[in-house]
This record gives sequence, structure tokens and C-alpha cells, in this order.
Amino acid sequence: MKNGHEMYRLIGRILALKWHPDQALDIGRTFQEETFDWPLFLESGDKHLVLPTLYGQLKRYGLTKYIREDCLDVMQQIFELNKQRNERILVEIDQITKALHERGIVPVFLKGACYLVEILYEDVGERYLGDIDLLVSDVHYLTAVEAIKQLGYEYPNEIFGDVTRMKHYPRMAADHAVAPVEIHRLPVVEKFSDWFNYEIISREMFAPTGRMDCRVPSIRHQVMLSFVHSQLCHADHQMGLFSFRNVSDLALLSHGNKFEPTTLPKRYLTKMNDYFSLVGELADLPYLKQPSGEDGFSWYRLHYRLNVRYKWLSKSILLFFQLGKKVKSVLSTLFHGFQDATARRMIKKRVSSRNWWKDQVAWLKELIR
Amino acid sequence: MRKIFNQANFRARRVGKEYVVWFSATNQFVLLQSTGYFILKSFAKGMSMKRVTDDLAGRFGINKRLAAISVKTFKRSKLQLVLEAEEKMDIITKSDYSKIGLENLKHFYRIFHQEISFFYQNELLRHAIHPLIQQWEVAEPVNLPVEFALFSDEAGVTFQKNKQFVGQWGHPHLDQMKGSVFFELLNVLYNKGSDDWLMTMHAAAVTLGNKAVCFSAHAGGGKTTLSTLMQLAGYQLVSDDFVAFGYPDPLIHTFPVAMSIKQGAWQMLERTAPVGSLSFQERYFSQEKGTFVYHEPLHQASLQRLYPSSDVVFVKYDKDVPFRWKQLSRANGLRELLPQVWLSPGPDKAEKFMEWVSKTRFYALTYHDNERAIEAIQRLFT
Repeated sequence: MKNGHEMYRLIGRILALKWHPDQALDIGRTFQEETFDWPLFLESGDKHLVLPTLYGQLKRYGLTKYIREDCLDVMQQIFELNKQRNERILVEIDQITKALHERGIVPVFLKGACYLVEILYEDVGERYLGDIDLLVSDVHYLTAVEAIKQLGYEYPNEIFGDVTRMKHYPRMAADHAVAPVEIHRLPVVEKFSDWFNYEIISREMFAPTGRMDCRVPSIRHQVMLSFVHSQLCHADHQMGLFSFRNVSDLALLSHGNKFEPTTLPKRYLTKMNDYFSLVGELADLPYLKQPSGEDGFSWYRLHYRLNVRYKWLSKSILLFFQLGKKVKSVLSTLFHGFQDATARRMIKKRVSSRNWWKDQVAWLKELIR
Repeated sequence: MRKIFNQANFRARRVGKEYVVWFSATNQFVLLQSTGYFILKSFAKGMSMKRVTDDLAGRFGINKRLAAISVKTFKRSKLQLVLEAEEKMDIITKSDYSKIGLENLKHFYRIFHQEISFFYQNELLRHAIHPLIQQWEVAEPVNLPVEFALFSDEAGVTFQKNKQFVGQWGHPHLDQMKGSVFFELLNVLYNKGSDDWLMTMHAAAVTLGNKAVCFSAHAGGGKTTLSTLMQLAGYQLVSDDFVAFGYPDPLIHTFPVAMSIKQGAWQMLERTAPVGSLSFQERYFSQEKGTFVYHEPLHQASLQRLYPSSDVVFVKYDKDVPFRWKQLSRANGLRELLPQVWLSPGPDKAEKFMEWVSKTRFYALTYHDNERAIEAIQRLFT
């Protein structure tokens, strides 16, 4: 295992073993190499939150016998704890669904929660998820928030801004619940909501097998959400970043086929192709590779290469980029403050709140870390 | 927040290379690797992440980077929250069904001298329970019956006993609902309370008189078919679908609800041996369940017989695998068993359960060759 890219290729291939099980032997041989960097393998899996997924795959394809004992111990532990956590989250999803039903609302689960209810992963313990994302229509948005509050969930801090204009209600947590909840009125940031919103998702959404009480987006919308959320909303595309958690989702969502064309505007198609091309290369899923990403010049791929080779450089660029975004957001808020009295009051409220300053410090610490 | 990760709040026993840990606050078992158990103990002592990482690396001789990942992911799993959530969520699940009329789908049952009125809110719930206990049905009660009721809405099923909330389960967990109903029936049958039981297991059990062997399987996994095959081979059924262990001695009690077998399996059984030779009180095709249902006569004497059991077989019918038999490690057996078991709360019972596990052997049987399957199980009785 010479470099980070090779390690990423190995992880990608393990995650997509379902579509090329014949590679299991080769993967087993790689594990047996004396120079194999086990800590790097685990660190990479941990950084991308796919250690439980990797364990599930390795077990399924009989590769655990090649794993160094102490690493296997760690992976099995993580898998089982995650399984327990996800089983609990499924109960919480049931409770939330029931509470919304009582108010005539059928939730559309997104991302991790969606994969859990539609049983995308063979074993409930394989997909790590941070929170429960659900989408409701604009009409039901505040009623849904009230319903979830009745279950004991709440946003612990003061809310700055108009919640009816936010993409989702600030993340609510409860003492009795393992996963916090985000109630979305928009699946992605406002900027993209003209062509990807509740109305569009609701046209194709479906009830997952065995569950008539909730909905999930169509497969192609799940793919689109995965791409838009990670690559465009979080600006991963500009930074040449990706997450193996998304790679694993995409590999399963693809069902071994090329994705159907989506309603993505043309201006984002190249970015999507660049991304799928890289995912296709890492996971060895050639059908995902797109001509424009493979043959043409791609800033995304160049950034990715730099990230893998010069970690300090990518970290510095990321830091600079995030700080730039923050400065832009602060300037924009101040600009609004000059024009609008309500915005001025909001700014005053923010800067005089201790919690707001705490949040900013926490954000900065997280960024530096 | 209570400290579940407090040394006084959990008990553990080594099972092979792993630890089975019981948490008193939530009455839950968790299987942990030796490193995981070490981290748990260290956190319970109030040690910092850095200290736990250093100690873990030193104690197990593992790379510090691995130790750091292990500790970090243990923390990320939010095990404490998972355990706490388990019981707290129950508080907010109770629905108000007091205004629903109870007359539509009401049945009365008599088990020896005890009478039960059972309300099923819809046909689906009735189908889940009634065919299995209809041998005890009576036209109307003589005495004041115990009242059972099952209600359902989109999110799940609620079970009440004498108008008191017993439990609620989401639709994917209806086996647990059935287990809870059977548990209450068991209390009526044996005139016992919750404290008198160690655990109940989603399994079937057969005996030759001296001891019993349990078969556990997922729904449709073939445990009822196998129990019937064993009956045809001269064994006696102790319980199908639901096995109850008493306390303080973990002995299996007879629980004679009817058995329900899919049409295809029934035809296979009839080809294998004369099913009519069994002493079934009644057997018939249940249109409700789309299965053959049969039951044995209930005698007061059979309730007096209790059986020890130290063998659990996880059964899986597979048309592609003639016969595969494998003894599982205790840890792997426990991993399979825990989701199928409901354990009475209390540290003494947890200790007793762990003691029972340490003496129990676990096997995995995958089969469609009946004769070899029967032979393998017969060997457990020798």
C-alpha cells in the first residue's frame, strides 16, 4: 500500500463488492501484504464514517480472516455498537412517524434515515448516521415542528432568524433520544430549491417495503440528493472532497446500473460527472464513469489528487475557504443590517448573546481541528 | 442524567473472547469485545479519553492510533444514550384507547379455572393470536374474566391488560407483541407473576422427558416444522413459538398454544410420516392464517412437568442446503439469542441468565434434509 489513493481505491472496492465479488480474493491478498498499513486503513474508514460498513462487507465476503486481530476487534466493536444505536434510531423513527401521523402528516425521510427505513443496507448496523432528516411540505412545516416538540425534542439554544425561511428547523434533540431530528421544508439549500424541492420529490416518492406510514424519495432523487447535499451544498466539489459514506450509498443505490438522467440543470452536469467519475474509479464501478470527467480536465480531480498527496495543503485551503465563506456571510448580514431595521435588531440580539459567541468559538475550534 | 456507566450499575461475565455486560438501569445486555469492555470500565471510573486511550494501548499492546479510534468510536456510539433511550421512550408511547368500543371482536377463553376476555381491535390482530388459542374459547365467561385488549394504529400495536398499558410495538416488531401476550397468558395459566420468571425466548422446545432442546428461528425459519418432525420421531412438544424459563431454577414450563404450519410444510410432513398418528386434539386448515393449525390436549399434569435445557439450536430452512450443522461459540450464540429473549429485570436474574449462558451450548442448523436434521438433534439427547 504505497499511498493514500491506493488505500482509497481499496476501501472503495470493498464498499462496492456487491457488484464485483470476484475482487474479494485480490482484496484478501492486499490485506496479507506485510507492508499493509492497518492503522491507516482504520483511520481512513473512521474519517469517512464507514468502519461499520467495511466490517459488514468484509464479513459478508469472508474476508475477516485476513484482518489483523486487534483491528478486527475494533471493527467488530464499532459495528455492534452502531447496530445497537441504529436499532434504537429505528424505534425513534417509529415514534416520530406516529406523532406526525396524528396530525395528518406523512414524513419523507432523507439520507441516512431514508436508507435505514428502506433497508438499503443488508444489516441495520452497517450505515452510520448522525441525525434523522425528514422533509415535510411548507404547509405542514411548523405543525411538524410542534409535533416533534411534543415528543420532548427541542433546540437547546436561542434561534436567530426566521425559521420559516430556513432550509430546516434548527436541529432538535431530546434526552430520551439517541439521534437529533432535522425537519426540512427544503431538501437542499434555497439556492437549489427551484429545481429540487418538496413538490418535485413528492411526485416520485414511494412507501418503503412494509411501511405505509412514511415515504422516501425515488431512487434517482436519492442519488441527486446525495450529490447535491455533499458536493454542491457543502462545497465539496470546489475542494475536491468526497465521503466514502456517500460512495457506499451510491454504490448500493446504483443497483449495478448507470444512473438514470436526472432533472439536474445542465450547468451542474459536469460537476456531477466529475464526481461520479471519481466514485466510479475508487469503487471500480466503471458504469459510473462519465466521459467528461474521465477524459477532460477536471478541477475536482486535480483537487482530489492534491488532497491525497499534500494533506497540509488541502487542510490550509479548506481553512481559508471556510473562513472566506464566514466573512462573506458576516458582510452580507451587516449589509442587510444597514438596509433593514429587523435585520439590525437580529444582529444586535446575536452579538449580545453568550450562546451565539459560544457557537462561533465551537465552529472555529472544529474548523481548526 | 443517571450514570449508567457507573461501576455499580453493570455486571459482566466473560464469554469466550468477549464480555456480556448487563446494565441494571435498563435491564439490557450488550456484548462487548475485551477492548470495548475495558473502555466501558475506564469511562465508568471517570477517566479522560486520553488516559483511556493510553491505558488501552498499554494494556492490550495495540498501536496507539488504533486505541484512539477504538475509544473515539466507542464514545460516538452513544451507548449510554442508547441504553437510556430504551426505557425513556416507552413513557411517551402510550395512546389513549379508552374511548374505543370493545364489543366488535371480543372472544372469551377459559384455561382451567381462569377466564380471559380478549378484545382485538381489528381482524389482523385477531388473526395473529386467536387461531393459536382458540382451543380454549368458550361462549361466555362464568366468572369475572381478566381483560386483554390489542389496539392498532399506523405506528404500532398496543397491548393492555385490565385496561393497564403493558406495551407498544412498531409494526416490524409484532413478534414481540405476540411474546408479551403469551407471557401474560402464561401468568394466567400458572397463576404466577412477572417475578416468577427468568426469561421468555422466541423459540420452540421438545423433550424426551428428562431435558428439553430449544429451536430458535426467524419467522418462517422452520422451527415449527422441525418441532413437528421431532414429535413424529417420538418427542414431546413443550412449547411452540414461545419458551418460558422459571426462576430461580431456569426450568422450561409447558405452554400448549396451537401450532401453525404452512400448507407446503404440512404436505411435506404428511409425505414424511402419518401426521394423523399424533395425539392432536384437533387439526384443521385455518382460512384466517392460510396455514394448518393443530394443538395437543391440555392436561393439568403436563403443567407440573418442568424441563432443564442447555442446548439451543438456531434453525434455518434452506432448499439449497441439505444439511449443515455447526456449534457456535458462546459469544456468537448469545449474539443470535439476545434479540430473541426477554429477560425479567433485576441483578439476580441477570446473574442467573449469565450463569445459564455459561452452561449452554449453541448450534446453527441449516437444512432441508429432514432425516439428517432429526438425527443431529437426537444426538443432543444422548
